[in-house]
Amino acid sequence: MAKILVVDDDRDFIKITRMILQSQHYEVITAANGEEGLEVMRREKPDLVILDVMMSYILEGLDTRRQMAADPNLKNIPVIMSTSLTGERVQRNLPSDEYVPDSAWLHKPIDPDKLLEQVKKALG
Amino acid sequence: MNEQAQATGHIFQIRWIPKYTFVERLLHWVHTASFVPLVATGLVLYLDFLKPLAQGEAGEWMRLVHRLTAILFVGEPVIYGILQPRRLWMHIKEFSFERDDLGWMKSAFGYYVLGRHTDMPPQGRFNTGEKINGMVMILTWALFVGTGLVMWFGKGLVPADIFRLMVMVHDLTMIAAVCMFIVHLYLALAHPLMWAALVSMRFGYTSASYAAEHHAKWYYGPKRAQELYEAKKKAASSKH
Repeated sequence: MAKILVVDDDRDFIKITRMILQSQHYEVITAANGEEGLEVMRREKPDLVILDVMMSYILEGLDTRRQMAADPNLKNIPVIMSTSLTGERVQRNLPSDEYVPDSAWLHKPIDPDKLLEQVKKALG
Repeated sequence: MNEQAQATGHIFQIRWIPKYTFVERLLHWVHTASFVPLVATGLVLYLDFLKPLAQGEAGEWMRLVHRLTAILFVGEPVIYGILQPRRLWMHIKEFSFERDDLGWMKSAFGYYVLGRHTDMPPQGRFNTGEKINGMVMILTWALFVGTGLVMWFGKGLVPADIFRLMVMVHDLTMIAAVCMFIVHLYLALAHPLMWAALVSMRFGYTSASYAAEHHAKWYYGPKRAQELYEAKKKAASSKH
């Protein structure tokens, strides 16, 4: 079964997401911040990453996503960004601190059915 | 791919950032709602020219209101610690002082009074002023609890000197807390740079532009915030 990495600093979110994903027999691994997330990605080679935007600082998830895109070993891993921030995705000139390479998006609180649907879609 | 296509991309334009949970906001407002009557009734018992109000039946009411609101004032941080221990621990860590706080102290006058924005080093989710406010609140809370308990239950049980010392410390703590409260009230209600702090305490959210400007370390992360700060300072000094 697919291995999914959940990167989030909210232990309760990780706990609930793990329960939802494991109910569909996905293997779930976790990390509490972007740096740890990148380390786990390099070591465990997950099939999908669910990445929180706001962790120890607001743009941490976006920075992590850009670091993934710049790393040849990580750039092809599909990503679902999860966030409780209010905002919108727009086309803009770069460079920007808010730039985010191609990813799916989920807004918190996440509906379990929507999460599973996005996971299935991202895993192809 | 042409140059234009390479220079554009999807960005996530952040509008609103959650800053306080519902429980934190409730705690803040309950704290305010208990602090104000505590001060009002405390002043009646403390100031000589208000002493007539502390006599007879009115005085009994003053003492009752003071004690009832004291229970609320003392109890609600304890309840918060039980309900959200991880958030409480996070706040304690966020309130710890670091090197940039010295920079804030040096630049505060230029920034808040003269509007020199480039002077201010990047701040975290709480700036140094908010940290000082938080620390004063924690310290005065502890002193109110300790001295208040002795004043309420210790009469006749503790030596008279100790009792008098507790009364004096209680009074001095009240003066410190009221001074901090006045500064806090002015910044929250009247200072043009701090209006968003009141909005976030009312609704729980702060705007992305305000967070990027006033809490750059929280917004961009420590490394990027420092780079931006140095670039801004360099640009300002070359302009002059």
